[in-house]
Amino acid sequence: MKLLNENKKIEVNIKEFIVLCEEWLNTFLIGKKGFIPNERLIRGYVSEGILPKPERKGKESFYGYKHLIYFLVCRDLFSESWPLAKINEYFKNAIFEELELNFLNKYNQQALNDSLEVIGELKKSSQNKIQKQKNKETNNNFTKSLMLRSYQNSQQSIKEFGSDLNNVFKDEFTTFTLASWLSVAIKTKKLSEIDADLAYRISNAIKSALLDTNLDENTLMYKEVKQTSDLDLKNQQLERENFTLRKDKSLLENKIKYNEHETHLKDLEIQRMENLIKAKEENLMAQLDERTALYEKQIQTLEIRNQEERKIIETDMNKKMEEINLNYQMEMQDQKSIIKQYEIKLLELEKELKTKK
Amino acid sequence: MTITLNLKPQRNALLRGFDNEFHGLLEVKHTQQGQQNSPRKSLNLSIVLDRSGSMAGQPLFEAKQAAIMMVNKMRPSDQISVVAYDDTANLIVPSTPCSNKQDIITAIQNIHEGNLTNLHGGWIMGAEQVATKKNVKSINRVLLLSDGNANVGLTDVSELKNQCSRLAETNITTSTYGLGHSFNEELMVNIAGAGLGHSYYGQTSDDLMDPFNEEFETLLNTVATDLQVISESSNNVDLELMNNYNVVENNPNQLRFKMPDLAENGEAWALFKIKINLEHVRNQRLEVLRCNVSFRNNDGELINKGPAKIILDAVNQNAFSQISEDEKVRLRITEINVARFQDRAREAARVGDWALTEFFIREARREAKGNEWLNSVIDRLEVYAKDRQRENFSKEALYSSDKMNKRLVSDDELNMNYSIDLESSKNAYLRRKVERGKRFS
Repeated sequence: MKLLNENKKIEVNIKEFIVLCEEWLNTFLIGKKGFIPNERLIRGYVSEGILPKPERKGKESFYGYKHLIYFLVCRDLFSESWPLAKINEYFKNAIFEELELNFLNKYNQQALNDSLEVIGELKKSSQNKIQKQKNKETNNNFTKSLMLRSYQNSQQSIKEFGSDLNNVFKDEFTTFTLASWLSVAIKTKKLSEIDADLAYRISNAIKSALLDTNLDENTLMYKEVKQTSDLDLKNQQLERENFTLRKDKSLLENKIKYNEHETHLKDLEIQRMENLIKAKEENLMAQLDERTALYEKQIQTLEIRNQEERKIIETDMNKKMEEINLNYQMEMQDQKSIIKQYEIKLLELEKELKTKK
Repeated sequence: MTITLNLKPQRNALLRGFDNEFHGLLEVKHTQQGQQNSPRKSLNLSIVLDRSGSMAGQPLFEAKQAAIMMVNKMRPSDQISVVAYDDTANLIVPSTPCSNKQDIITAIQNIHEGNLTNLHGGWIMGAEQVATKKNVKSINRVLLLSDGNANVGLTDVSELKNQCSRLAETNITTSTYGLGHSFNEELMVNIAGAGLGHSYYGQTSDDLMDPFNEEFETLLNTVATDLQVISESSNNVDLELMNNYNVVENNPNQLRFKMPDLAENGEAWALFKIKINLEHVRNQRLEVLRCNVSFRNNDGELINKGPAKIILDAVNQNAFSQISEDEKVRLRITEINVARFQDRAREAARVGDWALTEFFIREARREAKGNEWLNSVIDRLEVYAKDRQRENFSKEALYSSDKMNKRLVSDDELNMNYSIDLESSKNAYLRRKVERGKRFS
């Protein structure tokens, strides 16, 4: 069965759109048989708002999946005797996704859920990745090659390459991988006999073997291994130092850049402050000069005024003093005349007293 | 409800005769107008719980309590599913409307500890459940909790990150919750980053409820999802995005990236570093940067905003020095720089170089200057560094740096003081915590 939502990415001109609409109307048997949509109908639906406006690219307009769904739903409802005005109102209040889902369900078209599709793909790719991961682990694990190694050569063939054994032994080993670079292989049969004490003694033996510099055949190898491991360690240390230095370098570079920028801004700020101070100084000096001149003028006028006032006061004072003197003298004369009168009276009274006596 | 776009430069001019390097800040801000609340998005969640052996006891109990809290807070029309994973993933509650809460809670209570950690298996099962009920009008999210390292199934960090990113493209996002000291923080932060969700962690199971609360408040108050920014600059301008957002496209003159979902009264932001060579700084005005933002509103409609532009005049040194720096831009630069120093300190701590770690902490402190909150964050990190607690330091530094890069900010942060009381009064997703792995108190 053809799926309508396979058309999700279509972008067609009006003629192609009409062909598509006709094809799906026939597929779903919507409306009257033989009905063929035309350009006028499509444009009419667009102008009435039943179909969204097509996307314009240059001179041409393009229709997509959304237009197709709206058109088919509209024709479907129309065939159920819905008036266009009602369809229009219904479209305005409905969410496209719901319209699409209902329509697809009605015509048994499973709606594509993009998330479910993606999840399906992710599951598949995860399984492949997990398998690859497992294969990689198997290849990397060299102990696997030790495990279950069997010697099935004949007695003769081992003599040919100078084996120190008389026969071929087949054994199964179990390996314990302690690190990606360290494995311990033990005969599987022996494994059940190992208790805590034996395990401890084995670990001591391994320690001695690893550290024993007097091992004949392996001394050289041990030295080489030790040298390599020392070099590895040194290399790691150098890498770390290199990493730290690179970090420091980039940090210092950033700091230098930042400081340069800060210095530049500070210089600007200093320059601005200096200019401001200079301008203020000049301004203050000018103000000071102006004010000094003004004060001097004021002092002069005040002094003149002072002198004038002093003169006026002095003349006033003199006049007043003269007046006071005059008054005083007049009063003195008056007093003197009064005293004289009193003296005369006193003499008279004394005379009277004498006569009375 | 309105969402506004604002783009501003560090200084409102270019310096003539010099190479110019400065920052620009894009703010996408939500403001509530009037009392009327906008309709809330419905939720379609899957809670994916780790039930590996290490979760036995209190951690699993607290994880279940957190899941039950989520179920209790959800509306009956919201969709919920629950997955528990150890070696394999088990579907505890298939995606269902959250109407019969008691049945869901009983199913969660019956989860018991198992063996190993098949994190990918759990996540993909949760994602599948969300996908079956996906709707453009809902927030579709997987909430993934783990206390350990993924050691069964797909374990490759970059592949897990890719898968989360691919799923996020189909509108299913992933948030992660790390628990304790043994989980792989890089894995958890990276998959939440790629999955366009949030990343949280709790040092102890007691600290777990706080992140779930924060997530739930974010989900409840989300006003815009699927935020995508297209920033364009002219040929003569070098543009660098300072936040660690998911970059979708990075062409010489166009940068397209995704921002976190926007929640009520929050402000999402992006900081750009802009470089212009001196020969391009001429007398005429220069359009340095323009940004357009698209997002989905709560009705699922795709809305476009913009363009917001930075257009600057070139001026001489004297005029330039009189133009003051924008306080808000400076604050964001400081925060991003502190976040970067935290990242570097973490890298140094991971290789055991504590001297270098302490050096970067000192640098971060110098950068933070008088910012009380940033200084408190650095104080906590310093304690871990002094005690040589590598795991704690590594986790706290990574989560703190990631949050500083992506957090929604509130509009009262220009004040350099930090008050617990003031922070408590904000929505959980706007609170500035001093320590990411601990409860807010």
